[in-house]
Amino acid sequence: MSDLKTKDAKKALRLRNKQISKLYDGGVPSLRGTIIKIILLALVDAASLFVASLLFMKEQWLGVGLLLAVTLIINWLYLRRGGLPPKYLTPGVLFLLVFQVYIVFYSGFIAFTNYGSLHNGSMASAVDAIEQSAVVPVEGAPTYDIKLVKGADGKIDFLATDFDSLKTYVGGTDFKSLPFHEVTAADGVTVDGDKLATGLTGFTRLTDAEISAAAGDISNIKIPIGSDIHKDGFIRTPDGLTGEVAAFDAVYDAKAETFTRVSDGVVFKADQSQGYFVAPNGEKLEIGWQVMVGWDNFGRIFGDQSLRGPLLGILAWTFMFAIGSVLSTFVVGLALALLLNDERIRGKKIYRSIMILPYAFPAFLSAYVWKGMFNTESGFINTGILHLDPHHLIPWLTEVGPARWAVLLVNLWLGFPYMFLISTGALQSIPAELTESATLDGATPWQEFRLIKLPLLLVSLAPLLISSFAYNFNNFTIIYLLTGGGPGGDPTLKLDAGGTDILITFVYKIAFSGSVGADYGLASAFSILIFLLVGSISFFTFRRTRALEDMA
Amino acid sequence: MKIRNRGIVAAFATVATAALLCVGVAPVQAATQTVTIWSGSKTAAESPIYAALTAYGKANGINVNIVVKPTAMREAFIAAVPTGKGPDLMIGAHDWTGQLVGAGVVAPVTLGAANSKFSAGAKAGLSVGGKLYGVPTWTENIALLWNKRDSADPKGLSFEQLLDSKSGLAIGFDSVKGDPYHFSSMASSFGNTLFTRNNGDWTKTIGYGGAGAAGYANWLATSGKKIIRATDGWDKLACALQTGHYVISGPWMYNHAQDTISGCSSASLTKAQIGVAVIPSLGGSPVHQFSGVYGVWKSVKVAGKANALAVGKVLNYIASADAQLKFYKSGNVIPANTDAVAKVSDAGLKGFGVAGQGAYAMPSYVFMDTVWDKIGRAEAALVSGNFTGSATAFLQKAVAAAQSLIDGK
Repeated sequence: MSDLKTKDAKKALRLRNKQISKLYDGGVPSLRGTIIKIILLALVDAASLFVASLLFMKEQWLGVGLLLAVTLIINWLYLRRGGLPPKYLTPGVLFLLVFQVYIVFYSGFIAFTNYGSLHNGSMASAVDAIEQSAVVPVEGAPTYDIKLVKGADGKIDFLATDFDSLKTYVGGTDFKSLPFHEVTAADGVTVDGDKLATGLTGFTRLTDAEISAAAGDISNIKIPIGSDIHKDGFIRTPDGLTGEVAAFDAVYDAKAETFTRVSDGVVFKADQSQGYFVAPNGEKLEIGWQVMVGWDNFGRIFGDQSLRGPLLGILAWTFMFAIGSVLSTFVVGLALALLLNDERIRGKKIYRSIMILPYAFPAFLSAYVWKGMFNTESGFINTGILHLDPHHLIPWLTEVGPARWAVLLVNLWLGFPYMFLISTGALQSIPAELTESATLDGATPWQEFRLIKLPLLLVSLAPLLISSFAYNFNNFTIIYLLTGGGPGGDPTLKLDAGGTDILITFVYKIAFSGSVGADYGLASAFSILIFLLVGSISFFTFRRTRALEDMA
Repeated sequence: MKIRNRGIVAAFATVATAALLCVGVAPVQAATQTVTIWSGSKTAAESPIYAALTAYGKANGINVNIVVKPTAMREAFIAAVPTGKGPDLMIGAHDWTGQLVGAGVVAPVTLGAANSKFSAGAKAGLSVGGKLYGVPTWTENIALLWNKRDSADPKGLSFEQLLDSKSGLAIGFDSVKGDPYHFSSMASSFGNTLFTRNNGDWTKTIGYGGAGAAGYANWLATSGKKIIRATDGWDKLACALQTGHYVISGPWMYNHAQDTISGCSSASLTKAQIGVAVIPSLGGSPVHQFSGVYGVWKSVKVAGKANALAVGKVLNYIASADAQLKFYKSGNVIPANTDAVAKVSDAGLKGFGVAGQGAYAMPSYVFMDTVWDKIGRAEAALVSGNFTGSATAFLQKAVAAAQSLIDGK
């Protein structure tokens, strides 16, 4: 008896395992499925090959390597038999890496740099910019008509006619082989009606096609006027038609990483701790580059007295705003959901559709509409709804108290449909027997709600409330669009916050309109701190909600 | 086994199809060269440079591509240029020059033969460290605008008389952020300049101090409320002008008041109905409002690029009197090229030139935003009475805060 039972059981188990493994392998693929798979994979491969070739041209070897590796892994995953879970998970994981993990790590990296308006790019690009700025046109020097010509050596030379004196010169980039010197009709110069040179014996004019093809190089050509290009200056042509005399006011030495100012010989040395070229007397060249600054940005946040002062007040209001927003939207949304969940109400669908409307409008549009409605003198709220006496208007957005209420009110309007939606969904998933048996036991509706529905609701809604808190903690849009962080703030303080500034809008203010323009390094350091703050609050509250589950 | 074979076949098919697709999208070399310009106007066609540059491009085989960036253009430019994705040129107001140069994203430009055709002030606005970084396109400064249809000629009236007149005087400023650019007309008449001046150049020391600052702060606190405040964009100020208020504003308002403003009780004005007059001195010293100049900057990445010569040609053309006259015709702006200015026939625009004779080219330091912010909010607080202590001390504390931010780094 027992033997038979185990035999049967074994057989059943084998069959189930087979079914499971079949499910796991995805079974034998159909031809149609295979073709679709090949087309999709081919598209992915084509896209990545195309991007890889672009990266290859730009010599971004790391990018090429990463891209090809990921592409190979994707191909292997989807072409091999079996391995169903990774087939489902890979796209999500890739997007998570690109859009979340990468951004967090990149912000973390930037937080340790001085990246900002004045430290915008690499040292190479700063050197390039300074070198370009170091070329200055010589005041009062003649301007030339330029004809681009080629000598016997095939290099591009300038045939230049002085617009004022109408004398013609020829010169090449190498002063030794072809110095810049005057040529006349005796040398074989031909001229046009305006007495501008058109050609010279021994030289051929570049065709338009040749000029167009070499335009980038031509714009960089410097024809020295004398034997020392640094002392005597040179002629260049910004447009291929006219030439101007220019000179260097600073010269770069790539080996020593220094710029030497021509006028007084002051040497500016690259300082990799500041990202500037600095002279011995402390003078800096205007253009800097991005360097690692260690914990400096965090040090500034915690060490700067003028920053610490307003920070506490802002933090308090940020919590008030985030918690207030979550609570108000949840209470209103839940109340409406309970109301519209009642069987006795007719036309529920219409009511529910209307409730969701605020959610359907783009938030930035609503914010602007509300801003207009809150206008003290002409807004609809003061004049239309409250019918206030023109001498006793409520300064909605221009005084701290009313402005904070206004922000919360608008956020309630924007946020309650979401809470309404999720509460409705969660309410409908509570089994009717539970509430029925409670009613039979003689529970009042309030007891029924408080003791049965709410705990059950909170089990499923608590994580959403936490994410709503995290969202509102960083709800930049609503504050920025409605009040811009204002009103008020004390202009007599070095760093000051407006009455409705939450942490993220304050960070935006000090990071993007400070004394040095944008300061992405400082902003990233702040972001990391906010991330840690919100992350740890969420973590601890999530742990608390487990208790709720146990209760249920 | 069969399945395994199919896998290998599938792998080959994938690679083959991918290769085919790749061939299909290989980039093709463009025949004509493109010069890309970023503009902050609402539409490309709305920019005064549009008509002139597209016509020039067509005649010279250059594809001039005007890309519209209505918001955060400067930040986008600074971020995009180092990656090589930025435009070749950008047009904007000169006070960005300091930030753009500091970020290492713009290269110096030369005006060539047109160099003598630009005023020193226009060139100074677009220069940093004596080097010119932008080709000036048109200039602007504020003046006193008045409605000839409904108001009396302000000639001979003092600033206080304008405020007390039946028409009243309106300025566009935010009740919290103020508007130090427009208020400079009043501040300067008490002897305050945004920064102190040294041999005609700006220093980095804020110039609101001493008796001038005291007189100005006290006036704002006691009489500032008499200024009619028009906010929320330019519409309200244009409506104020149309209904008969005197208005302190710039050429853009001269143009805007000729439009019909929705919700405004008064009809639009014609050019002939708008008077442009000199702003009277409030504090007794000469009025030095700011002159602004628009210009075209060249990206640092243009040098050596295949379209470098085409960019050079476009910049040369922008500097020419011919192009600048076209800017004036399509945008009703005051050209920067003096040859073109001589051909401006519009009486109103000429009036701005007369009113702006004492104007200083606005400085273009990296920290301009900070200074605007502190002084503007201090001025607004003084007008609305939202300050503690004496008016003078309040203004001086705000100035000290801004100065410490400037000096801080």
